[in-house]
Amino acid sequence: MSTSAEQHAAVSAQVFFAQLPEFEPDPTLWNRIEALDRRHRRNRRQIRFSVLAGASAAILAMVALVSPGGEWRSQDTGELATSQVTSQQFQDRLESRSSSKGDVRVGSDMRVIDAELQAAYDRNATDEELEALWTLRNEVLRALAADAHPMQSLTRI
Amino acid sequence: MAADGLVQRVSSGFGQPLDPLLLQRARRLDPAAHEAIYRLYSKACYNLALRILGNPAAAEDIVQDVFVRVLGTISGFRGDAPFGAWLKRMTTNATIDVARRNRRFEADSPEDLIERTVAADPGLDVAVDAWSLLMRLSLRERAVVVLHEVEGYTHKELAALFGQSESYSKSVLARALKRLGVVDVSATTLRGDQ
Repeated sequence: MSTSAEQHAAVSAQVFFAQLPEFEPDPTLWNRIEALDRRHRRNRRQIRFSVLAGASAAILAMVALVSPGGEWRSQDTGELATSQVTSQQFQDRLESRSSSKGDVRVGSDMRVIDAELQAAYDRNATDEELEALWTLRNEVLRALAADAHPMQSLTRI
Repeated sequence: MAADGLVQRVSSGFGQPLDPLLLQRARRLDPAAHEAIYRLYSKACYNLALRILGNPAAAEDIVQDVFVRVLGTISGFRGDAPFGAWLKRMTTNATIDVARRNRRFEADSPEDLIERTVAADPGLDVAVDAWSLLMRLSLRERAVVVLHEVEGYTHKELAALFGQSESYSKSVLARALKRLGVVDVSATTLRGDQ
């Protein structure tokens, strides 16, 4: 093909593609796109909110695990902590004296006190209430320790 | 030169400049700016998809998908490339993906399609003929010929797009142009295609 023929052919190609009709999309298409976009944004917001809520819950759970008392609950410090240590010491002493540690028996008073203590912790009771229960528990344990009779089983908290 | 730096002999509409202020407003999720951008480029998107797929419903789906994605990501658009080029790439990729999934679309008759055009003009017969010829090509041929001749893609880009060699793209184009009754010699000199 000669150069002039090639140039003619090239122009023809250009003309051919220029002849292609141009169509308009459906006039309602934008409304559909806008509605879809709104829905996607709403979904993304909900997902973001869920992720944030989940992350917050996870952080709170972590805080609760690291600090079992939680911020809103009083810290086991001072007299309360001392009572707990004392209680543990009494309990260890009693168990060491027991001939059969796994089969130690305790009276119904101990069970009741331990149940009360557990319930108090479950409802985030005040330090004063907990302190009173621990003191009561220690009194019972002291009485048992002073007693030379065979040990009764102790319920650990 | 086209928006993406390629020589375009037939304006496809993607080369229209986007007002930076409009883009800024769109980035701030201004709905009016979104609509303005749609009005500016939707026709180019639609015609690119329609010329390749030959099916108005499928082409509208492409426009919808592309614009929903554009609106969802426009706040992060950095503007490294011109907006039209970015949009064209998204439209092309979406169209090729659909073409891959659906090897054959039932193309509407040219007359039906032409009837839907907004403006009637004296060159309608010519347009119907050109459209009919284009629709006689296979989906792959249409994609290559439209992307190369109208949208300014190089054979290198086409090869990457279709996962084929450049010579494959060249041979598909040559065959398609021959079937259309036109010979393209300017493409190699204009776009540096080898």
